[in-house]
Formats: sequence, structure tokens, C-alpha cells
Amino acid sequence: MSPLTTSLPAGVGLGLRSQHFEQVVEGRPALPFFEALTDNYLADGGPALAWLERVRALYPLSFHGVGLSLGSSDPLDEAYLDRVASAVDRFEPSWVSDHLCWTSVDGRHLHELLPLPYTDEVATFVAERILRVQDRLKRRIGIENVSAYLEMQPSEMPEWEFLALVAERADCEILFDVNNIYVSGTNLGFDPQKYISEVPAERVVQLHLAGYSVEEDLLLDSHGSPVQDPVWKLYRNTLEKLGPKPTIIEWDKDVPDFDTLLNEAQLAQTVFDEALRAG
Amino acid sequence: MLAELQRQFADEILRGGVKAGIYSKTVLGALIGALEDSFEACRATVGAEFFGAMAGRYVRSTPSRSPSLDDYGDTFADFIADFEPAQQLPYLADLARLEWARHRCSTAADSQPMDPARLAEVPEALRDSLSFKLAPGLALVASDYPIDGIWELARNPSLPNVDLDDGGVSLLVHRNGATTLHVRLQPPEHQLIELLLEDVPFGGLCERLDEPSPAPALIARAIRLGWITGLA
Ligand SMILES: [Fe+2]
Repeated sequence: MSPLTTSLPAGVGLGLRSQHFEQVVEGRPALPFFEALTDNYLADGGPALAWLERVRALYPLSFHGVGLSLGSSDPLDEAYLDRVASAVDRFEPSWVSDHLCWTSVDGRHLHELLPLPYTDEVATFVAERILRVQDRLKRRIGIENVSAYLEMQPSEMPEWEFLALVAERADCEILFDVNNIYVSGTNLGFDPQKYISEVPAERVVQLHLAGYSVEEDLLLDSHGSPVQDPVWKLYRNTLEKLGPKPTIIEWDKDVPDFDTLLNEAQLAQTVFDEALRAG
Repeated sequence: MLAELQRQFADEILRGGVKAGIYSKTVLGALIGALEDSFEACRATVGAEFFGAMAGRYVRSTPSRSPSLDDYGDTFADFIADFEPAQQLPYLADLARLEWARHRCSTAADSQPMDPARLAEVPEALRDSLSFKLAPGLALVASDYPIDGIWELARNPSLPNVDLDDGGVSLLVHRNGATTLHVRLQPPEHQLIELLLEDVPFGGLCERLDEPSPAPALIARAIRLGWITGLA
């Protein structure tokens, strides 16, 4: 496969939400790209697809999905993969990604990004599935680290080691979610700084920022609020360590007005620009 | 090993067991959220609390079978029909059927209206065997209750109350561009769509449509309204 690329324009983009289709297309905000949730554009027809055509005519896209269930013991869902492939053919996104997790077993879909046991055997198993997806899509995909609310046993290595191992064996890209390492680090008791220093920088092609919420004694990856202070701090560290990687703000629950999102992207862009200057 | 581990964890999640931790709450919450989105009128009609309890029972008994959360809830109307506490609201299952048909229709394949002149171009000898293509996502929902009025009232509670004794309706769900609609059908139109859904060709339509409904006129109207989108 071709060398790892960072083909998306540098800077901070936004997750595309249906509430804002019109403002994006009419107002053409000065953003480098939008990230579309792949699963929202796999239907046969309807207005969302028509809107995405219009957005695509104006911006590069990143496709981010939740349905591949890359870590599931079930066979890969070929029908789903076909639908992703035709959406990718149609919209030609700059990147395609899903998550390093499982979401289904025995044909039962849980629609949650569930953690894997981090073992060498599982790393090989998941990497092989990613290779098959990449063959089908004829391109490299990115895998994203998820927020974890418990540790799946038996695990024999830390998550960053597992992520690096899978990415190496599948020769795939990494979508590094800064909020998720803060959430998982707090919930499971590891140091997010350690994660940042161990992730293979050359494979990271995109960053995610989002807001978390607090529930009982856990942090939840809720995507329904502004990015919180500890995550801004980690974002700075991430850019210093990994370089200025294109970033998006994920805010898909209790979606605010578009100006609030633009403002949030602007805050991130400021941090991004500082990191660029610091080189 | 992985399969067994995932199977047990999924069981634990769906039964709300302690070993699943917060995941039971997030998983069942996502499924309930999908039902809330697809069945807004039912929710408004029975209230958030009743709906939440009903949806909670459904999600525990009905796992999602598709990677797309949009597919979840296809049997919810049947579940409501059998749900004991909803028996005082005999129209609720039909209202759910209407909402599900609308939900499906909203993402069905796009279609273009057909030129009515194409029908006249078909040679007389071939006409009887001619079949018609219905617009993707088009569906019939019939009920003994005025569920279109109930649907409107759910969206706009300031409307006057619906009289359940107003009687039943036959509704056609279809899409006009980006907009999903439902309209009331007269009995001959209902019969036509039913036959078209069974893929009955032109000759059969002329025979089977009850008098006095001239099949060609009904078909011409169905083409004009975008219900029929092609010939086969
Ligand atoms: Fe993310």
C-alpha cells in the first residue's frame, strides 16, 4: 500500500451535523474539512445524502463510522462493508475510519464501542480483519482509540501498546482521540501523558476533541458539551509530541447552534496555530 | 475465547447485570433513544414516562440485529399491540406503524416522477401485461382509528381533540423530494395501491378493481402524484 499520508488539509474542522447542513452550504464557513458520520449516509436515498453531496462539493470530507465492529468475533458484515464501500466511492472522502473495539456478537448489535482484551492474539485477529476491510475499500483506514469504562480481562498489555501493535500489523492509520485517552485514563487509572508519548506518531493522521460528562464515579465520552480544560491541556501536549495533526471537534449530542461549534473549532485552531509556530 | 467472552459480556449488558458496569445503561439508553427518535408521536401521545417504560421493556426483549441503529424498532408496533398497559389506547400500535412507515420512507431511494405520456405509448397488445413500479418507501397504513389526526395532535397539542369515533383511515406514506408525507386514500385508491403492492399488472387491475372505479383514471392519477414512478 502507498506510504502513510496526511492528505487532509491541516487545521481544525468540525463534525458535520444535520442541524447545520444549510448553514454550512449557504454560509461556507472557513474550515479546512468536515467529518461525516459514515453510518448516517448509508441509506438508499433521502435528504441527508443530497445534503452531503452539496457539502462535498465545497469541502474535503473525513468518513468516520461506528459499524464495522472490527474487534468482534462475528464474521465481518459484508453487506455493511459493501454499503460503506459504495458511500466511499460516491463521496471520495480524504479519510475513512472506525474504532478499535467491538460492537456486536452473535448478530446482536449493541451500538456501543466496547473494549477488547488487550492480548497479542486479539491484536493479530483484529489486524487481519482491518486488512480485509482495507482490501475491500482499496485504501488504508484509520482506527480510533475508544473511551473505556472498564478493563476487559484478560489483558496483557496497556492500550497504547495494543493500538500500536494492531496498527503495525494491519499497516493502518490511527485516529487519536484526545478526549478518549483522558476519559479512559481517569476511569482505568493510567497516565494519558504516557499514552501520548507511546503512540506511533507517524501513523496518527487525525485527532478528535470532545466533551465528557461525569456519571457516578466515571467519566463518559458523551460528546454533548464543550471540550473541558484537562483535555485542552492534553491537546497541547499531543500537538507538541505528534506534530500539528488535523483535528475535529465532535459534538453530536445536544447539538448546539452552529456558531457555538465554530467558536469551539476556533479555540482549537488557536492551540493548533501555537503548536505550528512552536514547530 | 474472544467469542465466549463477548457473548457473556453482551448477555450481561442486555440483562443489566453488574459485571457490565455502566455499559448496560449506555447500550439500553442508545436503543431507547433510537425508539424515541423514530416514534416521537407515540411518545408525545403517551408521555415520556410511559414511553420510557414501554421502550425499556422492548429493548430488553429485542436485541438490535443490524449495524445501523436506524433499522432498530421494526417490530415495536407489534410489541405495542401486545403490551398489556397500552390496551386502553387501541390506536397506539397503528400510530407506531404510521411512524415506522414514515421513518423507512424518509431514507428510501430517491425517485423521479414518471411522464404520464409513457403509458399511452405502450402498444395496446402489451398493455394488459404491463406492471407498475411504485415509488421506493411507499407504504399503506390502515387503521380503525383516525391516526392521522392523532399524529397531528401529537405534534401540535393546541389542536382540538381528536374524536376516536370519527372512524378509520387508509393512509399512504410517500416522499415528495426531501419531505415524507402521508395522505388519506379513498377506498378505490387504497384498493389500487394494495393491488400494485402485490405487483398485479394492468389487465388484472382492470378486472379486480371494484366498480365503478375506472382503472386507467386511477392509474393516471397515481402517476401524476408520484406514487407510480415507472413501468416494467
Ligand atoms: Fe472520537
